[in-house]
Amino acid sequence: MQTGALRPRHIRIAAWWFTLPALLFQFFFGWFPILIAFLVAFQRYYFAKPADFVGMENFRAVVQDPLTLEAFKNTFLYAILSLGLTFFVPIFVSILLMEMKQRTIRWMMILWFIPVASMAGIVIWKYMYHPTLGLLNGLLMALHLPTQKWLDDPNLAMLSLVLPGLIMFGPGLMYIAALQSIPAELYEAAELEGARFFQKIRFVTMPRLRPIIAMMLIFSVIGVMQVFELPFVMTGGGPGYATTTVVMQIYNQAFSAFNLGKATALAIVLFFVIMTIVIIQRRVYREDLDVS
Amino acid sequence: MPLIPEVGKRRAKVRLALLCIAAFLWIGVALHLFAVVWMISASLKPTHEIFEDPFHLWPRHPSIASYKLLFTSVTAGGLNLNIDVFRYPLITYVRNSIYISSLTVLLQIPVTAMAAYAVSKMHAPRAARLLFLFFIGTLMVPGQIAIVPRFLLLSHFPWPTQNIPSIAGAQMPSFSLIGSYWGVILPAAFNAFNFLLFKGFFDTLPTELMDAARIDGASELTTMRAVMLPLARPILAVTVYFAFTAAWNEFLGPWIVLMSEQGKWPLSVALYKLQYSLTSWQPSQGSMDPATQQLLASGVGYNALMALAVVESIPMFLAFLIFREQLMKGIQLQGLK
Repeated sequence: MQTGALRPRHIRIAAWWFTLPALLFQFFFGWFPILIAFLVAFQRYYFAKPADFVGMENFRAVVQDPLTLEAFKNTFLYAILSLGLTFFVPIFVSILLMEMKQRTIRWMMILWFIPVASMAGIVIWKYMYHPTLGLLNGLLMALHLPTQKWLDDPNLAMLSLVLPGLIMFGPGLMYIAALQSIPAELYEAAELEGARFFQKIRFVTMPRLRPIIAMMLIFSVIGVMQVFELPFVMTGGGPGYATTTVVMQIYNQAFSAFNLGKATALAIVLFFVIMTIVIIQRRVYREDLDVS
Repeated sequence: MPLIPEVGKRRAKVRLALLCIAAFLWIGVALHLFAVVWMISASLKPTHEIFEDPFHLWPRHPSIASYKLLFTSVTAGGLNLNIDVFRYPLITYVRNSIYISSLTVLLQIPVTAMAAYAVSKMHAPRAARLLFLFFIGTLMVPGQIAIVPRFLLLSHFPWPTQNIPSIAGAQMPSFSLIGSYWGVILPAAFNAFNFLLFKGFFDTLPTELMDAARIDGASELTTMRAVMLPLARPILAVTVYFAFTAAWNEFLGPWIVLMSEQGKWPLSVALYKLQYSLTSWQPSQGSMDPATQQLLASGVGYNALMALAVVESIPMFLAFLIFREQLMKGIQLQGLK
């Protein structure tokens, strides 16, 4: 690397021209909205006249709204179900996939990663869950089992949102990349020391996957805590409020009730909840590293 | 290979274990493929088969009626079905999606790549470090916090409030991007994750390459375009693929910005609206008004929904085919970063 002092002036100027467009976009659509959020949360909005500051009133409204607690409960339930049922499956599948022949791995990966657009994928499942026309009830009928109401059943709705992720299992690209970078000699060495199948997973595979698992877990938690599209399309938050998540509640407050201040206050509460979870996770993970 | 050693492969127990693993993996593959096959098969069923005989794996009388809706509009409604999606031929939504996604890619890739290149190779170390944090810092912030502020900002860009400041009595200019394609495209013009991929790649290129070009008298732009970009092809493929698929799949942004402009909806919004109108629709055979009859004959129903889902997935599939090799290479290249 050159040092700054050696850099000619025209390169330094060109550097700023190269950076300028991204700088503007990142400011206006990256940081600026986040800053505004902390302003909007303390304001009340009107259609015809400018907003006024109302202090903590929006936060008070959020706390007093019984739906807030309901939405957080649903979000945590979704997060736990979704991570518990589907987070570890791709890791497991990726490890097993490595046992196949190179050619088989290639073919399986190609077939696995044939993409379906995300809204298309959600809509296919909505159709599968249809109480009379859907394939799932068709299968249950064929097996002479009682049919289910799936998304319309308050006790089953949340599980039905998560279920596709469990039955459509597949490997994770990140895990495969990591697994392929583990040198074969390590496994051979473990072999010579008499390690069995599960011992090799425990002492050779896992220590090398752990950093990626920790990173993916953080991203997954941030992702599942903000789930919106899936419940919005599949159930619309129902039946009743059984699948109304926090981000759906933010959306409803903002664009159905037009209470922009309260919606943003709730967004900020969720922001701090997610950040707290992430910080705890990082701390746990760091301790984990020290031990191993 | 790694867990089960070559030497043991002959033993019956080991072979059985391998067989079980293979069966398990192929079941996963089959389930993925089945969803795709089911989507295609349902899209080829005539509407009455969807309602009377929905569980056949393959349509008994395949029909392309639903795909014809791509080019014809249907305005008749029947029996509590309000189908505003078909007011336009469905190809309108395909065109909108292509327009939004390609403009996003064309804007995002140069903006992001140039910033990453400058931060990696041109800026003084201290400025580079600060800029790097500025560019990737938003990755750590949950995106939902910006839903409302972004809406306010787009309503009177670049001001987030209705009280737009005036200088010497003249109000500052502001533009409403709500109802405009740009309200969807501009927020995606810079992407922090792709920035990270580009920067990681440019960091691996030797500075000497650049210096050689500079000594030959090439301008900075030429250096980047003629020397660096040809080397960056794998990472370019990965970022273009990510940018395209993200723009193609985006729902909440277009939904909020383009809600009232049906002629500008992308496919994701059209699909959402279509499934929404179909959800409670169940025509019974006995009492059928002519309008419903006509709807059924023209292929409106879950078959049309699946046809639209197929149409939405085709460009993703093409992008996957085009970039597949580069994608695998690019991911190995950036390793575990």
